[in-house]
Amino acid sequence: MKKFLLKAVSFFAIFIIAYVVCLFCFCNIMPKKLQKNVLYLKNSTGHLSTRLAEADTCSQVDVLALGSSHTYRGFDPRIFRRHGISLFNLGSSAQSPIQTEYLVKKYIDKIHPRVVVFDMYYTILQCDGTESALDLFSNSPGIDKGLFEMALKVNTIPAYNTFVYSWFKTLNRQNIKEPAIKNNDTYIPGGFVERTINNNQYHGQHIAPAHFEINELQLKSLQNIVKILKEKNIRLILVQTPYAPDSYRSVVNRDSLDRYLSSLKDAEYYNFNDTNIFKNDYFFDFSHLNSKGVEVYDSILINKLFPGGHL
Amino acid sequence: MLFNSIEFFIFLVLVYAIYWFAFSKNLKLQNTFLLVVSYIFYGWWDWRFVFLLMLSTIIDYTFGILIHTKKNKKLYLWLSIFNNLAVLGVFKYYNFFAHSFQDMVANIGFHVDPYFLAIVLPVGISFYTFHGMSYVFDICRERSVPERNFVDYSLFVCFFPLLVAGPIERASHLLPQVVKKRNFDYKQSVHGLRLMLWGMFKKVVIADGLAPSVNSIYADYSHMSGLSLLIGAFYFAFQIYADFSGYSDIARGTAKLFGFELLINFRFPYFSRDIAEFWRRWHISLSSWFRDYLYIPLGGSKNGLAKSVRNTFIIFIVSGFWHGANWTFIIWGALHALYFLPLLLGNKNRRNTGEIAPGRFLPGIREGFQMLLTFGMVCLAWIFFRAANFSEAIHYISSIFTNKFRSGMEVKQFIAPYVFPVIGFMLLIEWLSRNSDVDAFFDTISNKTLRYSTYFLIFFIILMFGSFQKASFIYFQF
Repeated sequence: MKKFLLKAVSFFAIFIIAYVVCLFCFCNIMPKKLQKNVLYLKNSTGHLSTRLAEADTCSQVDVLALGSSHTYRGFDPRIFRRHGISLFNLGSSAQSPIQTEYLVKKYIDKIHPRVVVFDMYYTILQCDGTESALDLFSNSPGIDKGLFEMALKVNTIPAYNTFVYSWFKTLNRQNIKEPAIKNNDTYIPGGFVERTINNNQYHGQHIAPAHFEINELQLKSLQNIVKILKEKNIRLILVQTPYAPDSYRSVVNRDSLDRYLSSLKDAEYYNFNDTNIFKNDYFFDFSHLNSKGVEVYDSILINKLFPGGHL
Repeated sequence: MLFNSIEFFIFLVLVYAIYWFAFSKNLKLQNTFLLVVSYIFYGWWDWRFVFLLMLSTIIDYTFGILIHTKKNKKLYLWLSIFNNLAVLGVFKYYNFFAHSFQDMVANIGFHVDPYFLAIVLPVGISFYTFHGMSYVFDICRERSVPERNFVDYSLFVCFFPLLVAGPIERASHLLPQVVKKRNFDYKQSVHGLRLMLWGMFKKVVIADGLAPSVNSIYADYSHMSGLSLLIGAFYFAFQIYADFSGYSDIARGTAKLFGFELLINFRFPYFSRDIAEFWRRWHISLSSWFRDYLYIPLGGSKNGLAKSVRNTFIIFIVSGFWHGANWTFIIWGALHALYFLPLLLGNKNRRNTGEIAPGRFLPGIREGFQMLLTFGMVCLAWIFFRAANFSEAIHYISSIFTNKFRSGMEVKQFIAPYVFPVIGFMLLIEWLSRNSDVDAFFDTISNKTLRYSTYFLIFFIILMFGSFQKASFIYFQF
């Protein structure tokens, strides 16, 4: 029995070390197509690398925007500036409350905003957070304790694998500067990503009905965010940034999300999908606003939430 | 609780530690402990059905004693069978019969609204009821004696590794192991871990890796190219094999850790040279169950050719129906009976009982051709098994020939670059083990470094290419 347990424990100990080494070699040698459970997304869609680098140099803004791609494609600091409000956009692809909690803890005292606007796209409250975790692991300037805790929280094999690989990569960092213009996306200082395509390429396509179901882990993180911001006396505004009407209507139980978010204490909630203003030509796909849509959305949001530039 | 979940891993470590460290000197405590954790394992899915499991156990336990002690054995046997089939009938087949009756009556111009039950099918119900039935059958035939100790009998029915998807054990095989003191055996434990590792590879990498492609192809089969449909049929053959045999390997491996040997359920069925051999290698515990408790009592092959053919069709169709309350399963079974027929009529059904390619690395041309042909026939039958209904299966098959064979880049989405290499790796390891068992195959790697490197490679493939979406095992639904 002792021999069996000793051998099993030794095997696992050696296995872990060998696995980490082999993972690193495998990912460096093999093409990306073969890396099914390692998704190293350095400098991929969303300009997160550039945004995090800018966040490190940013201090004291009026509004900090957080959330998924709806955020970094929906809140344009240039429009806010025209209304006398400074904004930094810290959105990232598929950012769920688990990632937002990490970003709040890491940047809130540095950026020191007076208001936090957090986008509540329904999928981010039901996902497990893997996609956004991989984005953060790959694009963070360094691996820290918070990211490790995030890997444990997300608790999926791709998250662990990518965390380990990203950690290796930060040890051997090659500073490949992310270009400001990638495909049709242009990074605008302040964290915004502008899409040059304006027509909705997805209009008319069938969108399958979706059913919103809240993930308890995401809920807990959302509650933690509310608590942290309350302790720091920062106004928290939860918003549903508009997404294409067909897509919005496909969420069968969208009212339950509204009910839940409206019931949260210490946070305001606004759903901009219910305004009937945002038709299909305000989007470049089934989910994201185009530049015309952003212009309208940001103006409406500022006038509603910050009338006269008052925060 | 799924074998491929972190909950099961924690459960197993805790149960293993308590079993060997706290109770190793007391068999009664060991068995009671295993029974309690087996109920916890089952109740993890839905605790309400633990009571159904207990009820089924009590009924068969009682009838086992009655059959043994009372004069009117047959009466008690039939009562026991009636009870077991009633449980299956209510939970699994009632709605099917009600639907079929409704359709049949509608075909002759009448409309009826039968009462449909809104109930969930309890996981593993077909497995544990068959367990219980084999026990009472064996007692009636005086092949075994009833177990008086209720805990020991309950453990025979509910032992957690085999509870939800088999293998369907026999009292004569498992009960003696339950009542005998079990000592820790290093070799048995090592073999157990190997089987678990291999089963996990098959489940997580092959079965769950192929599942999304299979689901997409079957969901939209009418718009798929012929090539994609062929790939869908091919993938499903490997998905279901890897899923079910993976489960069986993990179950056998887990049982070994606790000192039990369970029946082997699969012996590399896709290397079979004809359908008769396929059924000696696929879901062995079920096919041997039907052979012993249905085919032989019906007269088997001893009462002339006509009865032999009739009995063959009966067991294949019943076996299909065992899988689920749907005509597709019945047709799947009937199709296999049709495949079997020429072998039976030509008295060739026991032609391929020996080793596959003995003493050679590769099969001969004839053997290879036979294997491919058998595999092709099995794949065709799987289409009926997988399809939602009969017309879908027919459309699927006809679309292979009528739809455009290739359609642009469509097929590429179903062929990830690692899919064929991992299937190839599975086939290679199983081919090398074909005349023994996978856990014994590792013993043939005499070089320790090479052996441990092979374990490592399998682990590595699991973590690099596995799908970890908490996918249930296909056979849980049966």
